[in-house]
Amino acid sequence: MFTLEALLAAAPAAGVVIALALGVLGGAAGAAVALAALAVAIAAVVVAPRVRLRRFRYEVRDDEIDLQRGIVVQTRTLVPMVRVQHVDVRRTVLSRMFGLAAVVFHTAAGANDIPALRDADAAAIRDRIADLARTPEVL
Amino acid sequence: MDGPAAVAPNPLGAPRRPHPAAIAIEALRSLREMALPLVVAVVLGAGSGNGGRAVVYGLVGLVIVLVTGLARWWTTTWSLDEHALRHRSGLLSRDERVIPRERISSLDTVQGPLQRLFGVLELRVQTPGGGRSAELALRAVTRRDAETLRRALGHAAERAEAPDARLRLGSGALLVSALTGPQLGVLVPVIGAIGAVAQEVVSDVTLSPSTFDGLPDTVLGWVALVGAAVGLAWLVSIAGAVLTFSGFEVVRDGERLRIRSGLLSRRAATLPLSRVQGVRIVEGLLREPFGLASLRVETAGYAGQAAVTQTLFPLVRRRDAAAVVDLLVPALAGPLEPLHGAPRRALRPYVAVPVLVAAVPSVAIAVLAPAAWPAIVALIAGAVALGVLRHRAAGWRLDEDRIVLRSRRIARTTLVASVRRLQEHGIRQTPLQRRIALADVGVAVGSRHRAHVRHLEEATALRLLGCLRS
Repeated sequence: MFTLEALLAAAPAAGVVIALALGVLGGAAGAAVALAALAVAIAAVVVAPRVRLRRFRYEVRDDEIDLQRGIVVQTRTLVPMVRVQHVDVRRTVLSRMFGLAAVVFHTAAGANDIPALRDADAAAIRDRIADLARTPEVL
Repeated sequence: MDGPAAVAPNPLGAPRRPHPAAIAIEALRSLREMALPLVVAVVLGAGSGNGGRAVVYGLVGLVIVLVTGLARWWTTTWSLDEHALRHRSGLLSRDERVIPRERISSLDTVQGPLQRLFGVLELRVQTPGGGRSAELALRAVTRRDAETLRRALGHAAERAEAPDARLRLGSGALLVSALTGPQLGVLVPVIGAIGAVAQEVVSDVTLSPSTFDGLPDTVLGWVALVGAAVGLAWLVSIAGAVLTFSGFEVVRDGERLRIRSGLLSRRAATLPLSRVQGVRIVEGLLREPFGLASLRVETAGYAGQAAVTQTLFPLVRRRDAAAVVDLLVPALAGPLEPLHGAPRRALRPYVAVPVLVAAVPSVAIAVLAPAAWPAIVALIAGAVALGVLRHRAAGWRLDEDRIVLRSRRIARTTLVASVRRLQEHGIRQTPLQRRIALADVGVAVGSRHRAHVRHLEEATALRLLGCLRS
């Protein structure tokens, strides 16, 4: 699914860049830019999703949610369970095609998500987080 | 139900309309909303050569505005019963908002010049959750009704007799704060104006000589023009700051902070200390050289969006900042120094980023206008200086329940936050950092703020993260 997502994102962007490069710049410079854009797009669609999948790790513990993600820059985010305000399961058209869903949990500072879980898993994780996140006495 | 536990008679139980002053206030609101179409109509009327028509349009507009104000006042009622505060409004679509008593966290007031004329307040009912919908505005409430409402809800009276702490901004400090306030943001309208002019010039292919008459001819002329524009934006910003922060006063009374401020429009906000998750000490560009800073408060679940409601105190001396925080937010009390800094070898990554950013315009200048090479030198030197300052500013400190993070993007910012209340904490590494065993530590505090310390030793970052988790 990541591949398709990347394709949908990269294709129009690359298309625009290539069209501009060939149309506006023209000649050798235009061709070079177009080729570069194509290479970047291919990398984004073929390589990046695999890396993203491999690098994504999550763990739901009793007191916190641990997320590790990142393609180039790797980030590890820990969200204390008491700060979680609510949890949703998010299904998009794209994710439904693959039978996947994302679990989105919100704190006062914003939302974090665990993307691309199997539908049943997503519901289970959502329920687990909802149980663990007690109503905070302080926000 | 009778006896000592009986509920006192509720004078606010019956639905009441706002004070008649609301007619004028609501009329003004709809005037503001209709201002643009009204002006257009009047101008059109005047443009058609018939001055009388413009007057007629203007009068019609005014009548519409007044009728709207009257209608809004007539159809708005509110009441407080034993369960909740109810607010009904709307002529065509009746809108009812019910806020249970327990969810009213505080009552903020705003008093504009019109309200002051009639002796009424605008009451903003705050509920937890933050965001626009968490705020209900009761326009034109008399002081007496406001106090009755406070008492009925069990909130402390607005003026405390003997507060635990009080800080007021003197007029001298107000002036200094206004003068040193403007950041780079003051340039935004100037850049916008320049962009608009440039767009005009570029899009108008058939330029007549008269278009250029207004524009200066020499470089000096351009510099003067831009300087004047920046100066004007500066003055506007100073005026805005004076209007907003005049008479700034913060009082700590029990578990609440009350912040009052404003010249034309007087605001009073109540901030429960339990909602304060952190305090930020911001040393702006113009303040740092003088050892000054401003204090901002980071909250969660508080709807106040205005600059005033995020400000704990507009101007302090840097060396007094810790004492002021101790005074106003005792939960975050403690020393702010010494801090653990970034390692020496982190200097290179700190300098690298601004230099790379400066390289882009430098290369452009080198290619397009090699004669202006001093600019390149200035750019690179500035970038290096910024990198060094960022490296020097980076620091952290962890006490029992308190974390202090200091960093600089342009202005140096120190965040003091309660570890227990952090929304998120994390660690980040770019591939380059991974190779040289450096990492960034970041936290999210309150609804809005994220702070980082960059380029710490990997082991230190991991240890810090471990301490934050326990």
